[in-house]
Amino acid sequence: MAVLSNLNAGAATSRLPLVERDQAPLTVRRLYPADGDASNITKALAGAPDTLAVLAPLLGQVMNASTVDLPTKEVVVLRVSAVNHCAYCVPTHALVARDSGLSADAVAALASGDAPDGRLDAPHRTLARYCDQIVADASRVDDALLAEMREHFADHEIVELTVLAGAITTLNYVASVAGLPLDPRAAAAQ
Amino acid sequence: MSELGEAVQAAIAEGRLGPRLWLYSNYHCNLSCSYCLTESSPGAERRQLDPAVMRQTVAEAVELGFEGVGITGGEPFLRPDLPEIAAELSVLLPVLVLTNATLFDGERIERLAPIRERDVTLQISLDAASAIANDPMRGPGNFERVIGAVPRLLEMGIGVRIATTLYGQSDAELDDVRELVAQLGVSPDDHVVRPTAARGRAIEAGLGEAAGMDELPAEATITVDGLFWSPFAPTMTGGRLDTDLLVSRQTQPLDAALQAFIGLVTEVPLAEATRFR
Repeated sequence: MAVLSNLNAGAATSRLPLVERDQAPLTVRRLYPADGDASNITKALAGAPDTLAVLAPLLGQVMNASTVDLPTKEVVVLRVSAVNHCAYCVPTHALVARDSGLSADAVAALASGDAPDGRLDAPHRTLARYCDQIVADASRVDDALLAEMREHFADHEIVELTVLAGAITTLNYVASVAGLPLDPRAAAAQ
Repeated sequence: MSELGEAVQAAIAEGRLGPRLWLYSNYHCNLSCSYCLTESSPGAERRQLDPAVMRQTVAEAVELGFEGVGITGGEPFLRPDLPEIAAELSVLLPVLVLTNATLFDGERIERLAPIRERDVTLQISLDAASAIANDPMRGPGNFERVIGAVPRLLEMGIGVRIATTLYGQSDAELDDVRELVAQLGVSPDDHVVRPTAARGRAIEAGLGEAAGMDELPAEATITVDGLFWSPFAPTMTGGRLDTDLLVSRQTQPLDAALQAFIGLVTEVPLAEATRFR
Protein backbone atom coordinates (compact mmCIF):
# COMPACT_ATOMS: atom_id res chain seq x y z
CA MET A 1 0.00 0.00 0.00
CA ALA A 2 1.64 3.19 -1.20
CA VAL A 3 -0.02 5.17 1.53
CA LEU A 4 2.07 3.33 4.13
CA SER A 5 5.47 4.19 2.70
CA ASN A 6 6.46 6.19 5.75
CA LEU A 7 10.05 6.58 6.83
CA ASN A 8 10.11 4.17 9.75
CA ALA A 9 7.90 1.42 8.41
CA GLY A 10 8.86 -2.18 8.19
CA ALA A 11 11.66 -2.26 10.73
CA ALA A 12 12.46 -5.66 12.15
CA THR A 13 12.91 -4.13 15.58
CA SER A 14 11.33 -1.19 17.32
CA ARG A 15 13.31 2.03 17.65
CA LEU A 16 11.73 2.59 21.06
CA PRO A 17 12.08 -0.06 23.78
CA LEU A 18 9.39 -2.73 23.96
CA VAL A 19 8.68 -3.68 27.56
CA GLU A 20 8.17 -7.43 27.80
CA ARG A 21 5.90 -9.03 30.38
CA ASP A 22 8.75 -9.84 32.81
CA GLN A 23 9.60 -6.13 33.06
CA ALA A 24 6.06 -4.73 32.92
CA PRO A 25 5.55 -2.09 35.64
CA LEU A 26 2.96 -2.93 38.27
CA THR A 27 0.33 -0.40 37.20
CA VAL A 28 0.20 -1.77 33.64
CA ARG A 29 0.87 -5.45 34.22
CA ARG A 30 -2.85 -6.23 33.90
CA LEU A 31 -2.68 -5.08 30.27
CA TYR A 32 -0.47 -8.07 29.45
CA PRO A 33 -2.83 -11.00 28.82
CA ALA A 34 -2.17 -14.09 30.91
CA ASP A 35 -2.82 -16.42 27.98
CA GLY A 36 -0.96 -14.64 25.20
CA ASP A 37 1.43 -11.91 24.25
CA ALA A 38 0.67 -8.20 24.54
CA SER A 39 0.67 -6.14 21.37
CA ASN A 40 3.78 -4.21 20.41
CA ILE A 41 1.93 -0.92 20.84
CA THR A 42 1.15 -1.91 24.44
CA LYS A 43 4.79 -2.85 24.98
CA ALA A 44 5.97 0.48 23.58
CA LEU A 45 3.54 2.49 25.70
CA ALA A 46 4.54 0.54 28.81
CA GLY A 47 7.83 2.43 28.69
CA ALA A 48 5.75 5.34 30.04
CA PRO A 49 3.61 3.40 32.53
CA ASP A 50 2.01 6.45 34.13
CA THR A 51 0.77 7.54 30.74
CA LEU A 52 -0.36 4.07 29.69
CA ALA A 53 -2.17 3.53 33.00
CA VAL A 54 -4.55 6.41 32.22
CA LEU A 55 -4.55 6.02 28.45
CA ALA A 56 -5.69 2.39 28.54
CA PRO A 57 -9.12 3.06 30.11
CA LEU A 58 -9.67 5.92 27.67
CA LEU A 59 -8.83 3.69 24.72
CA GLY A 60 -11.09 0.98 26.10
CA GLN A 61 -14.03 3.36 26.24
CA VAL A 62 -13.60 5.03 22.88
CA MET A 63 -12.55 1.94 20.90
CA ASN A 64 -15.21 -0.47 22.15
CA ALA A 65 -18.86 -0.51 21.15
CA SER A 66 -20.97 2.06 22.97
CA THR A 67 -24.09 3.64 21.50
CA VAL A 68 -21.86 3.55 18.42
CA ASP A 69 -21.38 0.02 17.09
CA LEU A 70 -18.02 -1.64 16.68
CA PRO A 71 -17.83 -1.55 12.86
CA THR A 72 -18.37 2.21 12.97
CA LYS A 73 -15.61 2.58 15.56
CA GLU A 74 -13.31 0.57 13.32
CA VAL A 75 -14.07 2.89 10.41
CA VAL A 76 -12.51 5.68 12.45
CA VAL A 77 -9.58 3.58 13.66
CA LEU A 78 -8.68 2.31 10.23
CA ARG A 79 -9.27 5.53 8.32
CA VAL A 80 -7.38 7.76 10.75
CA SER A 81 -4.50 5.28 10.79
CA ALA A 82 -4.43 5.25 6.99
CA VAL A 83 -4.41 9.04 6.72
CA ASN A 84 -1.64 9.12 9.33
CA HIS A 85 0.33 6.54 7.30
CA CYS A 86 0.63 4.19 10.26
CA ALA A 87 2.30 1.06 8.89
CA TYR A 88 1.65 -0.83 12.15
CA CYS A 89 -1.95 0.24 12.82
CA VAL A 90 -3.41 -0.20 9.33
CA PRO A 91 -2.61 -3.92 8.84
CA THR A 92 -3.47 -4.57 12.47
CA HIS A 93 -6.87 -2.91 12.30
CA ALA A 94 -7.66 -4.17 8.81
CA LEU A 95 -8.02 -7.53 10.57
CA VAL A 96 -9.94 -6.14 13.54
CA ALA A 97 -12.24 -4.26 11.17
CA ARG A 98 -13.00 -7.48 9.29
CA ASP A 99 -13.63 -9.22 12.63
CA SER A 100 -16.07 -6.46 13.55
CA GLY A 101 -18.15 -7.19 10.46
CA LEU A 102 -16.96 -4.65 7.88
CA SER A 103 -16.74 -6.09 4.38
CA ALA A 104 -13.42 -6.75 2.65
CA ASP A 105 -14.28 -4.02 0.15
CA ALA A 106 -15.03 -1.51 2.89
CA VAL A 107 -11.76 -2.33 4.64
CA ALA A 108 -9.82 -1.94 1.40
CA ALA A 109 -11.49 1.40 0.73
CA LEU A 110 -10.71 2.72 4.21
CA ALA A 111 -7.13 1.47 4.22
CA SER A 112 -6.35 2.81 0.77
CA GLY A 113 -6.74 6.45 1.72
CA ASP A 114 -8.67 6.98 -1.53
CA ALA A 115 -11.75 9.19 -1.53
CA PRO A 116 -14.59 7.29 0.16
CA ASP A 117 -16.79 5.63 -2.44
CA GLY A 118 -19.64 3.18 -2.89
CA ARG A 119 -17.73 0.42 -1.16
CA LEU A 120 -18.80 2.13 2.09
CA ASP A 121 -22.39 2.61 3.17
CA ALA A 122 -23.66 6.17 3.58
CA PRO A 123 -22.90 6.66 7.32
CA HIS A 124 -19.43 5.17 6.99
CA ARG A 125 -18.70 7.16 3.85
CA THR A 126 -19.55 10.38 5.64
CA LEU A 127 -17.56 9.30 8.68
CA ALA A 128 -14.49 8.49 6.56
CA ARG A 129 -14.65 11.94 4.96
CA TYR A 130 -15.01 13.46 8.41
CA CYS A 131 -11.91 11.56 9.58
CA ASP A 132 -9.96 12.74 6.55
CA GLN A 133 -10.85 16.31 7.37
CA ILE A 134 -10.18 16.33 11.11
CA VAL A 135 -6.79 14.66 10.69
CA ALA A 136 -5.88 17.16 7.97
CA ASP A 137 -7.33 20.23 9.72
CA ALA A 138 -10.20 19.96 12.20
CA SER A 139 -10.76 23.71 12.06
CA ARG A 140 -11.97 23.27 8.49
CA VAL A 141 -14.85 20.88 9.20
CA ASP A 142 -17.54 23.06 7.64
CA ASP A 143 -21.22 23.29 8.55
CA ALA A 144 -22.17 21.10 5.62
CA LEU A 145 -19.95 18.22 6.73
CA LEU A 146 -21.10 18.54 10.32
CA ALA A 147 -24.73 18.56 9.17
CA GLU A 148 -24.07 15.43 7.14
CA MET A 149 -22.53 13.79 10.22
CA ARG A 150 -25.67 14.72 12.19
CA GLU A 151 -27.82 12.84 9.70
CA HIS A 152 -26.15 9.66 10.92
CA PHE A 153 -24.88 10.32 14.43
CA ALA A 154 -26.11 12.02 17.61
CA ASP A 155 -24.06 14.95 18.87
CA HIS A 156 -22.64 12.94 21.76
CA GLU A 157 -21.59 10.27 19.29
CA ILE A 158 -19.81 12.86 17.16
CA VAL A 159 -17.91 13.96 20.24
CA GLU A 160 -16.99 10.36 21.04
CA LEU A 161 -15.92 9.55 17.48
CA THR A 162 -13.82 12.71 17.37
CA VAL A 163 -12.06 11.79 20.61
CA LEU A 164 -11.50 8.31 19.16
CA ALA A 165 -9.83 9.87 16.12
CA GLY A 166 -7.53 11.85 18.41
CA ALA A 167 -6.71 8.82 20.55
CA ILE A 168 -5.91 6.76 17.47
CA THR A 169 -3.72 9.56 16.15
CA THR A 170 -1.79 9.36 19.43
CA LEU A 171 -1.21 5.65 18.87
CA ASN A 172 -0.29 6.27 15.22
CA TYR A 173 2.39 8.72 16.36
CA VAL A 174 3.96 6.30 18.81
CA ALA A 175 3.77 3.34 16.42
CA SER A 176 5.25 5.34 13.55
CA VAL A 177 8.05 6.96 15.52
CA ALA A 178 8.96 3.56 16.97
CA GLY A 179 8.61 1.87 13.60
CA LEU A 180 6.79 -0.93 15.41
CA PRO A 181 7.10 -4.41 13.92
CA LEU A 182 3.74 -6.04 13.21
CA ASP A 183 2.31 -8.43 15.77
CA PRO A 184 2.25 -12.08 14.63
CA ARG A 185 -1.35 -12.19 13.39
CA ALA A 186 -1.00 -9.10 11.21
CA ALA A 187 2.42 -10.20 9.99
CA ALA A 188 1.00 -13.57 8.95
CA ALA A 189 -1.78 -11.86 7.01
CA GLN A 190 0.66 -9.77 4.98
CA MET B 1 -5.72 15.08 56.53
CA SER B 2 -6.19 14.43 52.81
CA GLU B 3 -8.12 11.44 51.48
CA LEU B 4 -4.82 9.96 50.29
CA GLY B 5 -3.27 10.55 53.71
CA GLU B 6 -6.15 8.70 55.32
CA ALA B 7 -5.65 5.81 52.90
CA VAL B 8 -1.92 5.73 53.64
CA GLN B 9 -2.49 5.71 57.38
CA ALA B 10 -5.15 3.01 57.14
CA ALA B 11 -2.84 0.87 55.00
CA ILE B 12 -0.01 1.31 57.52
CA ALA B 13 -2.35 0.49 60.43
CA GLU B 14 -3.58 -2.66 58.63
CA GLY B 15 -0.04 -3.78 57.86
CA ARG B 16 -0.57 -3.47 54.11
CA LEU B 17 2.00 -0.72 53.74
CA GLY B 18 5.34 -0.36 55.47
CA PRO B 19 5.46 2.70 57.74
CA ARG B 20 8.81 3.81 56.34
CA LEU B 21 9.36 5.68 53.08
CA TRP B 22 12.62 4.64 51.39
CA LEU B 23 14.99 6.84 49.44
CA TYR B 24 17.75 5.47 47.20
CA SER B 25 20.35 8.16 47.77
CA ASN B 26 22.77 6.76 45.15
CA TYR B 27 23.73 3.54 43.39
CA HIS B 28 27.52 3.52 43.60
CA CYS B 29 29.39 1.69 46.36
CA ASN B 30 32.93 1.10 47.55
CA LEU B 31 32.16 -2.64 47.69
CA SER B 32 30.96 -5.10 45.01
CA CYS B 33 29.07 -7.73 47.05
CA SER B 34 28.21 -11.02 45.34
CA TYR B 35 24.51 -10.76 46.14
CA CYS B 36 24.07 -7.05 45.48
CA LEU B 37 20.58 -6.24 44.18
CA THR B 38 21.67 -3.11 42.41
CA GLU B 39 24.95 -4.27 40.84
CA SER B 40 26.57 -1.53 42.89
CA SER B 41 30.33 -1.06 42.73
CA PRO B 42 32.86 1.77 42.69
CA GLY B 43 32.33 2.16 38.94
CA ALA B 44 28.51 1.99 39.00
CA GLU B 45 26.64 5.01 37.71
CA ARG B 46 25.83 7.21 40.72
CA ARG B 47 22.14 7.96 40.03
CA GLN B 48 22.01 10.29 43.02
CA LEU B 49 18.79 11.67 44.43
CA ASP B 50 18.90 15.43 44.59
CA PRO B 51 18.94 16.69 48.21
CA ALA B 52 16.10 19.09 47.42
CA VAL B 53 14.02 16.17 46.16
CA MET B 54 14.81 14.21 49.32
CA ARG B 55 13.75 17.11 51.54
CA GLN B 56 10.57 17.78 49.58
CA THR B 57 9.65 14.09 49.46
CA VAL B 58 10.07 13.62 53.19
CA ALA B 59 8.11 16.79 53.93
CA GLU B 60 5.26 15.34 51.86
CA ALA B 61 5.67 11.94 53.51
CA VAL B 62 5.09 13.54 56.92
CA GLU B 63 1.85 15.10 55.69
CA LEU B 64 0.71 11.73 54.32
CA GLY B 65 1.31 9.92 57.59
CA PHE B 66 4.52 7.99 57.00
CA GLU B 67 6.32 7.24 60.23
CA GLY B 68 9.95 6.98 59.19
CA VAL B 69 12.49 7.37 56.42
CA GLY B 70 14.96 4.78 55.16
CA ILE B 71 17.99 5.78 53.13
CA THR B 72 19.74 3.11 51.10
CA GLY B 73 21.79 2.58 47.95
CA GLY B 74 24.58 1.92 46.92
CA GLU B 75 26.57 3.06 49.89
CA PRO B 76 24.90 6.26 51.07
CA PHE B 77 27.98 7.50 52.94
CA LEU B 78 29.93 7.79 49.69
CA ARG B 79 27.99 11.02 49.41
CA PRO B 80 29.80 13.74 51.35
CA ASP B 81 26.47 15.48 52.04
CA LEU B 82 24.74 12.41 53.49
CA PRO B 83 25.32 13.10 57.23
CA GLU B 84 23.89 16.62 56.89
CA ILE B 85 20.93 15.39 54.85
CA ALA B 86 20.16 12.59 57.33
CA ALA B 87 20.37 15.04 60.23
CA GLU B 88 18.07 17.44 58.46
CA LEU B 89 15.51 14.76 57.56
CA SER B 90 15.54 13.43 61.12
CA VAL B 91 13.88 16.63 62.28
CA LEU B 92 10.86 15.52 60.27
CA LEU B 93 10.89 11.74 60.77
CA PRO B 94 13.14 9.08 62.33
CA VAL B 95 15.82 8.11 59.81
CA LEU B 96 17.39 4.70 59.19
CA VAL B 97 20.46 4.62 56.94
CA LEU B 98 21.63 1.31 55.47
CA THR B 99 25.41 1.28 55.32
CA ASN B 100 28.33 -1.11 55.03
CA ALA B 101 30.12 0.88 57.75
CA THR B 102 33.47 0.54 56.02
CA LEU B 103 34.01 4.25 55.60
CA PHE B 104 34.19 5.11 59.31
CA ASP B 105 37.71 4.04 60.29
CA GLY B 106 40.11 6.39 62.02
CA GLU B 107 39.25 10.06 61.88
CA ARG B 108 36.75 9.52 59.11
CA ILE B 109 34.12 8.70 61.72
CA GLU B 110 34.10 12.40 62.64
CA ARG B 111 32.17 12.98 59.43
CA LEU B 112 29.19 11.58 61.27
CA ALA B 113 29.16 14.43 63.83
CA PRO B 114 25.96 15.95 62.32
CA ILE B 115 23.92 12.84 63.19
CA ARG B 116 25.14 12.51 66.78
CA GLU B 117 22.25 12.52 69.23
CA ARG B 118 19.82 12.78 66.32
CA ASP B 119 17.06 10.33 65.49
CA VAL B 120 19.30 8.65 62.92
CA THR B 121 20.05 4.93 63.15
CA LEU B 122 22.61 3.12 61.03
CA GLN B 123 21.75 -0.38 59.83
CA ILE B 124 25.02 -2.15 59.21
CA SER B 125 25.48 -5.28 57.14
CA LEU B 126 27.25 -8.19 58.84
CA ASP B 127 26.76 -11.71 57.54
CA ALA B 128 29.08 -13.89 59.58
CA ALA B 129 31.08 -13.90 62.81
CA SER B 130 34.54 -14.08 61.25
CA ALA B 131 36.46 -12.42 58.46
CA ILE B 132 36.99 -15.79 56.78
CA ALA B 133 33.24 -16.38 56.57
CA ASN B 134 32.06 -12.82 56.07
CA ASP B 135 34.49 -11.33 53.62
CA PRO B 136 34.24 -13.62 50.56
CA MET B 137 30.75 -12.25 49.89
CA ARG B 138 31.37 -8.66 50.97
CA GLY B 139 35.02 -8.03 50.18
CA PRO B 140 38.40 -8.12 51.92
CA GLY B 141 38.74 -6.16 55.17
CA ASN B 142 34.99 -5.75 55.51
CA PHE B 143 34.63 -7.70 58.75
CA GLU B 144 37.40 -5.89 60.63
CA ARG B 145 36.09 -2.47 59.62
CA VAL B 146 32.54 -3.28 60.77
CA ILE B 147 33.70 -4.73 64.09
CA GLY B 148 35.83 -1.65 64.61
CA ALA B 149 33.08 0.80 63.72
CA VAL B 150 30.13 -0.46 65.75
CA PRO B 151 31.44 0.24 69.29
CA ARG B 152 32.74 3.64 68.22
CA LEU B 153 29.37 4.56 66.70
CA LEU B 154 27.59 3.54 69.89
CA GLU B 155 30.06 5.59 71.94
CA MET B 156 29.24 8.59 69.78
CA GLY B 157 25.55 8.20 70.59
CA ILE B 158 24.63 6.95 67.14
CA GLY B 159 22.04 4.16 67.02
CA VAL B 160 23.10 0.90 65.38
CA ARG B 161 21.16 -2.02 63.95
CA ILE B 162 22.81 -5.04 62.37
CA ALA B 163 21.46 -6.72 59.24
CA THR B 164 22.44 -10.25 58.29
CA THR B 165 21.65 -11.46 54.79
CA LEU B 166 21.04 -15.19 54.50
CA TYR B 167 22.82 -17.04 51.71
CA GLY B 168 23.28 -20.50 53.21
CA GLN B 169 24.93 -19.94 56.60
CA SER B 170 24.41 -22.84 59.01
CA ASP B 171 22.41 -22.46 62.23
CA ALA B 172 25.65 -22.60 64.17
CA GLU B 173 27.12 -19.80 62.07
CA LEU B 174 24.01 -17.69 62.65
CA ASP B 175 24.23 -18.36 66.39
CA ASP B 176 27.79 -17.06 66.24
CA VAL B 177 26.60 -13.90 64.50
CA ARG B 178 23.95 -13.38 67.20
CA GLU B 179 26.56 -13.79 69.90
CA LEU B 180 28.87 -11.34 68.16
CA VAL B 181 26.04 -8.82 67.79
CA ALA B 182 25.41 -9.04 71.53
CA GLN B 183 29.13 -8.63 72.26
CA LEU B 184 29.14 -5.49 70.12
CA GLY B 185 26.47 -4.02 72.38
CA VAL B 186 23.57 -4.27 69.94
CA SER B 187 20.26 -5.62 71.24
CA PRO B 188 18.77 -8.74 69.58
CA ASP B 189 15.76 -6.55 68.70
CA ASP B 190 18.08 -4.49 66.55
CA HIS B 191 19.39 -7.49 64.62
CA VAL B 192 17.60 -8.05 61.31
CA VAL B 193 18.04 -11.38 59.53
CA ARG B 194 16.62 -11.57 56.02
CA PRO B 195 17.00 -13.74 52.92
CA THR B 196 18.88 -12.75 49.82
CA ALA B 197 16.43 -11.59 47.18
CA ALA B 198 16.89 -13.34 43.85
CA ARG B 199 17.28 -10.12 41.93
CA GLY B 200 20.21 -8.21 40.49
CA ARG B 201 23.64 -9.75 40.89
CA ALA B 202 22.25 -12.49 43.17
CA ILE B 203 20.63 -14.15 40.14
CA GLU B 204 23.98 -14.47 38.37
CA ALA B 205 25.46 -15.88 41.57
CA GLY B 206 22.59 -18.39 41.80
CA LEU B 207 21.56 -16.99 45.17
CA GLY B 208 18.37 -15.98 46.82
CA GLU B 209 14.64 -16.48 47.10
CA ALA B 210 11.94 -15.29 44.71
CA ALA B 211 11.15 -11.67 45.49
CA GLY B 212 8.21 -10.35 43.50
CA MET B 213 5.10 -8.41 44.43
CA ASP B 214 3.66 -11.38 46.32
CA GLU B 215 6.76 -11.91 48.44
CA LEU B 216 7.82 -8.35 49.13
CA PRO B 217 5.83 -6.25 51.59
CA ALA B 218 4.73 -2.92 50.12
CA GLU B 219 7.24 -0.24 51.13
CA ALA B 220 7.17 2.90 49.01
CA THR B 221 10.64 3.46 47.61
CA ILE B 222 11.83 6.52 45.71
CA THR B 223 14.81 6.45 43.39
CA VAL B 224 16.04 8.75 40.69
CA ASP B 225 14.11 6.48 38.29
CA GLY B 226 10.71 6.56 39.99
CA LEU B 227 8.54 5.09 42.74
CA PHE B 228 9.00 1.35 43.35
CA TRP B 229 7.12 -1.31 45.29
CA SER B 230 9.89 -2.07 47.79
CA PRO B 231 13.51 -1.27 48.58
CA PHE B 232 14.23 -4.71 47.07
CA ALA B 233 12.60 -3.59 43.80
CA PRO B 234 14.73 -1.00 41.94
CA THR B 235 17.32 -3.57 41.02
CA MET B 236 19.81 -3.68 38.18
CA THR B 237 20.33 -6.75 36.01
CA GLY B 238 23.00 -6.79 33.33
CA GLY B 239 23.39 -3.03 33.60
CA ARG B 240 19.69 -2.41 32.98
CA LEU B 241 17.13 -1.14 35.49
CA ASP B 242 14.42 -3.69 36.33
CA THR B 243 10.97 -2.15 35.92
CA ASP B 244 8.83 -5.14 36.93
CA LEU B 245 8.21 -3.58 40.37
CA LEU B 246 8.07 0.01 39.16
CA VAL B 247 4.92 1.85 40.16
CA SER B 248 5.45 5.30 38.66
CA ARG B 249 8.17 7.14 36.75
CA GLN B 250 6.92 10.32 38.34
CA THR B 251 7.75 11.02 41.99
CA GLN B 252 7.15 14.75 42.27
CA PRO B 253 4.77 15.56 43.81
CA LEU B 254 4.73 12.43 45.92
CA ASP B 255 0.95 12.31 46.23
CA ALA B 256 0.35 11.74 42.50
CA ALA B 257 2.70 8.76 42.44
CA LEU B 258 1.48 7.43 45.76
CA GLN B 259 -2.11 7.43 44.58
CA ALA B 260 -1.20 4.67 42.11
CA PHE B 261 0.82 2.88 44.82
CA ILE B 262 -2.09 2.86 47.27
CA GLY B 263 -4.33 1.49 44.53
CA LEU B 264 -1.99 -1.49 44.23
CA VAL B 265 -1.69 -1.91 47.98
CA THR B 266 -5.43 -2.33 48.33
CA GLU B 267 -5.47 -4.83 45.44
CA VAL B 268 -3.06 -7.29 46.99
CA PRO B 269 -3.60 -9.45 50.06
CA LEU B 270 -1.68 -8.74 53.21
CA ALA B 271 1.93 -9.64 52.60
CA GLU B 272 2.34 -13.00 54.28
CA ALA B 273 6.08 -12.88 53.95
CA THR B 274 7.76 -10.34 56.10
CA ARG B 275 11.02 -12.20 55.73
CA PHE B 276 12.33 -9.43 53.50
CA ARG B 277 13.09 -6.63 55.91
